[in-house]
Amino acid sequence: MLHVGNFRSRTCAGFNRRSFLKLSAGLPLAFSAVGAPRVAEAADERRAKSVILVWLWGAPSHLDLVDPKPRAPQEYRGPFCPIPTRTPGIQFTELLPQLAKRTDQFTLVRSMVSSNGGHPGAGTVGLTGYEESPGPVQPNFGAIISKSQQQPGNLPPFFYVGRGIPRDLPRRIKGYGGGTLGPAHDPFLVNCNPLGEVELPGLRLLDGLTPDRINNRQELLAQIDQTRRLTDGSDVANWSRIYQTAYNLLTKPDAVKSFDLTQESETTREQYGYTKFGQSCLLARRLVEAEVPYIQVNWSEYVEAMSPGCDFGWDTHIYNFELLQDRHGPIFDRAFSALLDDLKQRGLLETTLVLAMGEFGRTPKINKRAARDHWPRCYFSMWAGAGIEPGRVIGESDARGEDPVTDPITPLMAGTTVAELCGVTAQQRAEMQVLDGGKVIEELV
Amino acid sequence: MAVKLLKSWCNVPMIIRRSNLPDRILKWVCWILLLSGLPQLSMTRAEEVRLTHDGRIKRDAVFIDNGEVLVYVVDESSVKMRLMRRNMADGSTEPFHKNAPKSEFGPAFSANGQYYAFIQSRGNLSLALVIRDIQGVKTSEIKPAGGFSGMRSPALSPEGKRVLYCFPEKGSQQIWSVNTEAQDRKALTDGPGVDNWPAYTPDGKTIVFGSTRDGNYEIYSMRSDGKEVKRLTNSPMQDIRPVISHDGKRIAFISQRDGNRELYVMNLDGSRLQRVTSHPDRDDYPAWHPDGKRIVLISERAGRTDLYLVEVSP
Repeated sequence: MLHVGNFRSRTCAGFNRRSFLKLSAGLPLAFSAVGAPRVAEAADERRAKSVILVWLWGAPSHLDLVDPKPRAPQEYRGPFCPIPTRTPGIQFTELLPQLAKRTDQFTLVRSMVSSNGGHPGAGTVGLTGYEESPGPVQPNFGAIISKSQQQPGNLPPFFYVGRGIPRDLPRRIKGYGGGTLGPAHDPFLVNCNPLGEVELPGLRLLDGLTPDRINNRQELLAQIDQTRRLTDGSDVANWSRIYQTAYNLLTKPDAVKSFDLTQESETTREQYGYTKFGQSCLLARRLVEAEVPYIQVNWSEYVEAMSPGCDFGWDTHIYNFELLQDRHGPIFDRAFSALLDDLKQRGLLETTLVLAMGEFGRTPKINKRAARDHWPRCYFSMWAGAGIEPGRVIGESDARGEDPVTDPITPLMAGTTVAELCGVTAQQRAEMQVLDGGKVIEELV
Repeated sequence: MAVKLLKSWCNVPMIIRRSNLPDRILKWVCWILLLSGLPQLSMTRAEEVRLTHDGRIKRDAVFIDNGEVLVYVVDESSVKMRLMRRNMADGSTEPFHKNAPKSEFGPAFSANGQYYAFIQSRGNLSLALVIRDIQGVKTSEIKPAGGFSGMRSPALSPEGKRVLYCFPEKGSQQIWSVNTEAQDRKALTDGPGVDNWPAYTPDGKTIVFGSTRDGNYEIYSMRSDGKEVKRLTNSPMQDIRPVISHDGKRIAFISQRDGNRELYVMNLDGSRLQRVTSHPDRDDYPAWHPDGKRIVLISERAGRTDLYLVEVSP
């Protein structure tokens, strides 16, 4: 099922006649960067033709997942047992049994360090490499990849799968989008529910606009223009991109099929799990097949389902052990394992970079609520595909997981490495004035 | 080949699969087991009856009304967990509370049917314990403290006079006891680690619970006054969510000792351990049927979460 705006329509064999696009104003806009400057000139050099960033916002505990400290004092180590992984000498906790069997498919970094310990700020650092600034922030890594694309595809080059804006925060993470590269490189948002129904909130139905009529470009343009005039502050360039994307989605069936998870076998969908995160990961794989360069899968909204006004992702200040045991751990273990397996089986992993990380880690010392708080001094990231040698651990944390004992790896280094693997050279980065001073993680390139 | 088969056999006893025996020895063990038919015996799977088919995330099942009603919790929406009442005779299901504006979970009932308790969301990371008589006339509660605060895992004494719940203080998590007016608060445990999932025996004299006091989640028992703590399990992996059969003789619990979460049953003293389920997906949240022959589970199958009823050998 495809949910265009507020409307669901089957898309297996084209469009239901009642399924038409409405283009709404005032929404985050990010579409195929038509007319944007192209700087990438060495596409053949790209090891990663697509990137899937699994953004575990809220910040998962490194000790409770992939960096257990069984010899640490009880007030640090937590309740979960270490288990062996496929990589000799490397242990995960019992919350990730499936991923433990797949350590030959990815490389783990255990020495990530952030400069910021609050979600909005650390989110910007984690997604851009830089602290927030009063003016436009540095661009999201996805925006850099978006801008570097030579050939615009049928779909926007930078997708957000899932809202990814913690609802318990006072504001959106500034580094979510194009930043200094401009709103043309903001992400295009799609949502996916646990049944795999996809919603495109950036596109809304226009009254009376039918597939037949939408083939009339003049009429479509008139419709868009009419809607635009109803709004304040919408610029013509953005509306042009909306038009282009709307037109592509409605007139190029292959583009639309990417959002239709019913085209997947039941077995495949089950492997990912019928959860919002699971089906979102499956959608990301389909977007890779559609040659979308950068897909950021945001950890799902309301996995905990406890508080309507509080959507805290991995931000487990209370109920840390319960939530990780009951929900977050099993959901992530299943979906991320399925994603790696699926990409590998389809031969896509060699040219797709899969990266999972949050904005920081969680306190090694258990807090008074038997949970864990924010900890930017040490956390983890997981890297797969794009020719990265798998089955390794890069970096090491100390005996309590408080600090790296090896050279720290920063989000700026992660972003620079992503860019490098995507063929965005240092010169190109300099021309875009992005990732200045960033070093690649040598072990990954 | 034989060794590979043995190592991958999901039901081959843990002691063999996790052993560090050389492959040469394992090969012989494998052939002996194959010839003796032992693997076939250990692979006998409990028959399971699927009770729900919506696939939505669920938790916290418990039988009431002599097994005629099953109460459980479902994610009604992405922001709301709801108590549900299932009529076991005809399968009809309805909300337990007709009007429940906030998330509710962790239902527990007294054996005499007079009181029940549950956890109710009161705001951002703020969860109260609610104690109510079954008629819904009298309600008491333990409100969450300021900031992030939450009660867990209520349990009622058989005669409905005391309510157990878990709440963390000082970094560890203890089991507390209050009366049905939510007064007379007493700490029953005060050890290190996390204590959780308390349950009374039918005579009210013993409490079983899970705890990490010795390193990882194990099952323990103690007197109802918190004394004479005994450890009942000893597994390198987590043993969680103990529930006591209505005759008070057996404990069902979930263990990950064989690689993923499965249902196990043992006697009240920890003896006669039996593995009940064997599935590559999770089995969780056990609840005894009053007949003592069946246990309802919330299990993940093919990426969906539903209620299943499994039979347990005597």
